[in-house]
Amino acid sequence: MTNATGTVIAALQIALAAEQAAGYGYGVVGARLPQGSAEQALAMADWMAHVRARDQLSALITDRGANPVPAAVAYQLPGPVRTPAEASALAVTLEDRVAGAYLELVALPESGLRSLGARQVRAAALRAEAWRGSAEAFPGMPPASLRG
Amino acid sequence: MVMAGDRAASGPEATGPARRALLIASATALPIVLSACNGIKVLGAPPAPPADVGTLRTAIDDEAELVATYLAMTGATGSAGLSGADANGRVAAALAAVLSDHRQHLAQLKSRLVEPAGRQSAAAHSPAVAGAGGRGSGVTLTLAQLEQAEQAASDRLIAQLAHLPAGLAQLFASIAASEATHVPYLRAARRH
Repeated sequence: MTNATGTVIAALQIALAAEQAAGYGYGVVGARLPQGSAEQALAMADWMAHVRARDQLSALITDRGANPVPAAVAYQLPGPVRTPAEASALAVTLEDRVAGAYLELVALPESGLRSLGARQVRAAALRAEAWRGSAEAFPGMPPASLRG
Repeated sequence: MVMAGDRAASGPEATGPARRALLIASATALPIVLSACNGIKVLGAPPAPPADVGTLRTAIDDEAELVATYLAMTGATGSAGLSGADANGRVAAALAAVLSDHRQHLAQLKSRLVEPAGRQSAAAHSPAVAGAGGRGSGVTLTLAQLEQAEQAASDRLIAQLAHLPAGLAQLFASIAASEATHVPYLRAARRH
C-alpha cells in the first residue's frame, strides 16, 4: 500500500468510525425522546442517514482493498443523557464530530472523495442545525485551525 | 604655491587618462544597462497568480457581497418593518446572527490571501451587493431570496473545491456547510 493510498484509507476509516459512533449515539437519542414525537421521527431519519453513509464508506474502503474498522460494542457518551434536551444536545455533538471527520476526506487530493466529504460535512451541519436551532460559522473546523 | 589657474591648466593633463577610462567604461557599461532593460522587457509582466488564488479572491468577493446584503437587510428590518414588531424582531435577530457568520467567513478567507502590495480585493473597494439575481448597492431582498442566495453560495463553494490546497478546501467546505444551514435557519425565522 502506497503512502497516498494509506492516507486515503485512514481518512475513510476516520469517517467510518464517526458514522458508527453516530449510529450508536442516535440509538440513545431516540430512546430519550418522547415516543411518537416529531423529534423522535427526526432522530430516526438521521440515524438512517448515518447507516447509509456507514455502508457507503465501508464499500469505499473495501473497494480499495482494506478492511473497514469494526464498530465498537459501546461508546462513551460525552455526558449523561436523561432528558429530551440532553438527547438533542447529544445529537448536536454527534453531528459536529461527523462533520469534523468528513473534513479529513476534504483534505484528500482525490476529487471524488473531496466532493463526498464536502457534501457530508454539509449534511451533518444541516442535521446539527435542526437539533440546535441555530447555525454555526465553521461546522467541523477545529477552532485551532482558524486564524486570528 | 598652487593657484586655481595652475590647477585648471594642469587638470586636463593630469586627469586625462582617468576621464578616458571613465568614458570607455561608460561606453561598455551602456549596453549592459540597456540589455538589463531588455531583460526586464523579456521577462514581461509578472506571471498570473495560481488558479487557487483567483478562486479565493472570488470567494472573498462573494462573501463581501453577502455581508453587504445583510448589512442592508438589517438596516431595512430596523426601519421598514416586515409584518409586526415581534416578527420584525425575530427576523432582525436571525439576520444579525447570519451576518455575524458571514463576517467571520470573510475574515477567515481574507486571512488566507497574501496580496502583493498595491493590490486589493475587489471587495475591499467595491461594496456591491449581490442578491439571488444580481448586483446593486444597498439592495434588500426578501428572506426567500436570501435563502436562495445562501444555497447558491454554498453550492458555488463546493463546486470550487477540486483544485484548492487541502487546508483551504476544508475551509471552503466548512463555510459551504454553514451557508447551507442559513437556509433552514432563515426559513424558520420567516415562518414562526
